[in-house]
Amino acid sequence: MASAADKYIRLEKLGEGTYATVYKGKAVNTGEILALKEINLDVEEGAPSTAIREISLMKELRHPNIVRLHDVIHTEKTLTLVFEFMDQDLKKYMDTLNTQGMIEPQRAKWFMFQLLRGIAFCHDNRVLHRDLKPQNLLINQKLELKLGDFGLARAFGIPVNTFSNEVVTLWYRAPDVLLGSRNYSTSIDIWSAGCIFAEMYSGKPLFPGKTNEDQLQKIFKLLGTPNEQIWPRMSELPEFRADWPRHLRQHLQTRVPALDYTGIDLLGRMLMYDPTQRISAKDALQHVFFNDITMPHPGLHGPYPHSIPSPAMTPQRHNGVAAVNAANTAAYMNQLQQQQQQQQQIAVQQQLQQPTPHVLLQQQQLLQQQQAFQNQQVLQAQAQVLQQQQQALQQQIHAQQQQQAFMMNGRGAGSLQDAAMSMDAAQQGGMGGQGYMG
Amino acid sequence: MLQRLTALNDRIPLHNSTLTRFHSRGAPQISLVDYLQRIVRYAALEPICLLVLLIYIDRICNRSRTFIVSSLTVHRLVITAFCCASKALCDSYLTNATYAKIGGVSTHELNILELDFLSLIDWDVCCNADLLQIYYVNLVKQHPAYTRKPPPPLRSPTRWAGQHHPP
Repeated sequence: MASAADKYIRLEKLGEGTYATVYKGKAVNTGEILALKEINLDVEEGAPSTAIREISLMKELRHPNIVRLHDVIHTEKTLTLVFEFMDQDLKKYMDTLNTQGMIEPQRAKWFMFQLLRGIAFCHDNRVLHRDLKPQNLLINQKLELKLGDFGLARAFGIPVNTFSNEVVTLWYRAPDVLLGSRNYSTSIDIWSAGCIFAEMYSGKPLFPGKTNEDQLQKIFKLLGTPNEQIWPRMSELPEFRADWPRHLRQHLQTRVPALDYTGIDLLGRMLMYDPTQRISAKDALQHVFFNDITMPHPGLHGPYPHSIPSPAMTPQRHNGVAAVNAANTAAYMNQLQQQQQQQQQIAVQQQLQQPTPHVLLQQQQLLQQQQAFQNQQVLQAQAQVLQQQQQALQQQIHAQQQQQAFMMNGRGAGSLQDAAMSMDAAQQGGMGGQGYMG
Repeated sequence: MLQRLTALNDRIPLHNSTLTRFHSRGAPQISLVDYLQRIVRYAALEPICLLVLLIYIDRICNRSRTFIVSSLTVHRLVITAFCCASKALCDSYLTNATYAKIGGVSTHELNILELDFLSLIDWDVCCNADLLQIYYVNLVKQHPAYTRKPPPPLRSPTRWAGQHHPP
């Protein structure tokens, strides 16, 4: 086994963590600049589980928004992980800005987009990161953002009894985890991403709690004290208490003024109390907020990702950002309303028409069993009717989807202006925040 | 879970008998069944780790054609694999010192074994639910077959992992 010194030259020290030291390094063969994470092996502990997980998971995760693990070298006393080199982490980046940590909105949007792409990829590969925070998001000069430090990550979907709730740095920890939930899933990463989202636009951590309880109170003060209505079954969680002080929900915009309406809507969906209602990373990427992002394939070209306004927004461009935002939002609000109506319609239709899958299954089983009894034709006819009903329903849904897609694409300048006006009116009326909660 | 565990425990005599039939000389005194039961008892091992053991052994056999799982090697392999599996998959696990005590090896030796094991398996200690399900189904499927018909006596013992999954 070649030692680390044979293959890589250590340059300056980049940082020191609790169990590892990170050096800038250079590959002897290629001259490539890399990051060397040196882990000292504890005599009692052996290889730290964080290292084992980090290596085993990151070896498999190859994505432009995830830090690439190139090599692992071990000796009896140390373990060296060789990563691609990244210039700095998001925390340091924000600290060096002379805007009190606020990132310029288009750039923050680009970072957010990449963050969600990285998360979506992890979740697609059934990996929970479980420790998303600005310190663990690495960026380089090409403004690529990559997820790093998979020390707390784990594969999900396998039956294991010991799921720790001591995960995620306190400030970025989801309320369900704070309340002692141990069957959390991908939604905890989304909560963290939501907190980071707000932090990039405001320059301040969203919920900088000191203790578990303080953390919860900080969340309640902004998002309102949750109850069974907005978060079903929350009282079943171990740390649930009935005597929390009741706070009313504040406007997210008050805390993140730099974020436009669509962004606030997305943030609201990421910071849902009920983990089952929290938006998925994949859906978040489809959110209207990201409509004006053009995608240079990050990691390949990576020029400065100045977003090019989408065609729908172009005519409005010179009227100032605010108008565009408002118009965009208004159009989006319309969409939302219509979507909701459609969803309701669909729900009603489903209740009326569609036999539940369970019933369908039973029918099929029945069908098989009774074939021997020669009334098979009758049953088959029944099944056909069911099938036809299903097909009809699918067609309906499909048509509705198409309609939606059409609406998304077909937003013209005229309608935007109308919408902008109605939006202004709405804002004056003090109801600008409707529809956040979805 | 319990069912899974018992299925596994029922399955264990097969490993044991297949192995010891060929490799009795020089093997540790404790039988594989007893050894596994000892680890399960003292290390509060999650059932999933037992199942994952089979996956690990297959992976090692696939990666390294020269590695022979025999009664001479299996005990150390098992304790090392459990040690790594607990760290990789479970959120609560013991120190290497404890695993070593349970497994009857020195901590120092286990630490070295651990790194060897990890490089042998190329750090591929993760697994997904689908794979586990396949292994579980195979395991359960195999067990009654074994009780009906003992394995052919002169089959090569070196690749006993392969016998779990006839092509």
